[in-house]
Amino acid sequence: MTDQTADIPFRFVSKTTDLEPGKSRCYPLEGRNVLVIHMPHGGFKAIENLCSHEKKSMEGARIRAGKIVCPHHGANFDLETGKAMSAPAVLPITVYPVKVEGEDVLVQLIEPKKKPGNPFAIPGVGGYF
Amino acid sequence: MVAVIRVKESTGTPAGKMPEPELGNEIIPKERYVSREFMQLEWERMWTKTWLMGCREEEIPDAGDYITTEIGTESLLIVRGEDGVPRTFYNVCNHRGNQVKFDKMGNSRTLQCAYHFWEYDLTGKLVSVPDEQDFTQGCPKDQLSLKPVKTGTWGGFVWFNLNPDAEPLLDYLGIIPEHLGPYHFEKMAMVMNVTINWGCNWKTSVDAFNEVYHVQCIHPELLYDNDDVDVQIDLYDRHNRYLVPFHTYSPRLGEELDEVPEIIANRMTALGMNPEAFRGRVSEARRAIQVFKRENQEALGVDYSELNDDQLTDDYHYFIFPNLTLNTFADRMMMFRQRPHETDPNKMYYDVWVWARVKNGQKRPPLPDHEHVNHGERSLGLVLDQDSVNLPHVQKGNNSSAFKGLWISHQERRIRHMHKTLMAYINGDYANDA
Ligand code: FES
Ligand code: FES
Ligand SMILES: [Fe+2]
Repeated sequence: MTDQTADIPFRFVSKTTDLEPGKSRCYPLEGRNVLVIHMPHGGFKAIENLCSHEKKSMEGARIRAGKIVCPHHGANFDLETGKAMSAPAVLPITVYPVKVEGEDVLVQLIEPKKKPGNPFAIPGVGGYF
Repeated sequence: MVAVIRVKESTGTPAGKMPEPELGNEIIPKERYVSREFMQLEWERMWTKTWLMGCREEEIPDAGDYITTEIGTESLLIVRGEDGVPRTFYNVCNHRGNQVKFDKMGNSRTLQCAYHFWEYDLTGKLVSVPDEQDFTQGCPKDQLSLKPVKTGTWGGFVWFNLNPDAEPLLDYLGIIPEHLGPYHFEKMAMVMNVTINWGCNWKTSVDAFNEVYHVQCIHPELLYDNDDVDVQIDLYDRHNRYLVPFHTYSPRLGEELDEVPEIIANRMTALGMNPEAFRGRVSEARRAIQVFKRENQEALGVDYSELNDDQLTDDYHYFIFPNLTLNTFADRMMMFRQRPHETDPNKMYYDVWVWARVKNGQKRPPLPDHEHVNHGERSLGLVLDQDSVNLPHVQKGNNSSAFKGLWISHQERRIRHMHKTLMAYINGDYANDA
């Protein structure tokens, strides 16, 4: 997390009691769609509810071994880092930092990850490809 | 939805559609992707009989400049002579078999082996042997010179052929010089040079770029920049191509877009157009870009006069048998060279060479350093990362006893065509070419 994100306040998104372990639900919050996930073995995670593959909702997705499995075409994402762990996704998803205070789940709405403006651009190659 | 409009006339590059050859419908046996026996046949009857791309002329501009390149178990040394002519040799010293050069590239006045200092001149001739009189059997210099390999140049590239009786390079290239000459590759500069170790057969990689069937699945972004349906496929003798319209959108989206997609808008901005001022339908953006480039070629610093309008936007995508994939655009080119592993059909080397047209009045940028990495260690950008993500799994699957072979659709027929050429080599049909 960079210094700038430290300034972003934590916002209330849901109650811990809203969700059974292993379940997820999407909450609209300040123009974002925040998918709150109650991890199967406890703890909460929150992500921007957009699969990086086809920008579809992952509400209700399976959570396995710290990863979310997109219900549409099966891409896996690491819920720690957001990294895509399997095809057909390649780009990461946005993981929002989470804090639990009492029964409140709070999230920090950091900037969501963007798709590259030029999907052909290659890191390290200048000019427009 | 308006179907994509193509140019009617050819300027330099023929744009017309070829009649379709009969290729049949058979399953393509998976053994060609996994068996060591087939790999050996490929080596004996194809890799050692075809013209292969060795390097770029600009990599060896001066006398004594050399590069080494590997194909299968062979290492080749390509060196420019005092007479300015590039020559290729087997990279092996005839004393005790050391490699003459171990590095990727360099410059030397003569080619001296680093073991006992046998020295060859730039034409491969053995010129100096320390303690020569000690070889009681003699040192016949002509017999102990470096073994030469047939070499040719076209398009600013140096090619070699391990078959001493091979037909001339231009005969082998067939339609390619006429089709790609108008792009003037010699005026393009290399801006990236990366080799990646991939866990798949070399043909798995070739196939991945010879069909657009996968675009809707693994490149969803490209549906907003490419028409992956109105793709013209042309199958020639050994080589083939498809023409993919860029800066438009896919009919698969099923509806007319009312806003220029971000990718196309970014492309317009990069060219100096104002996407906001564009008033046409989204399907007309491609045409607008073509017109803009044509009208502003002076400012853009590129002479487009030998290219047709489609070539100003589209990917004229060529496959040069056996292993070159060219994404050709008016101002840039992305080339993949797929090389087999030395011994393992489940592995390959994927060379990515990216080129940019040197604009009028611009200086050629310095050559990029060569990077050699494992799959996953370096991103190649979204699209190529998407292309590579399935490949090791395809190779694993190909090895399964449950899998018999490739079940190919019509839109994937470049794969079938490549196999037709490959099997012609395996069956010896090209043996009398020379
Ligand atoms: S939308 Fe999630 S895997 Fe395709
Ligand atoms: S859908 Fe093409 S390999 Fe499975
Ligand atoms: Fe692709």
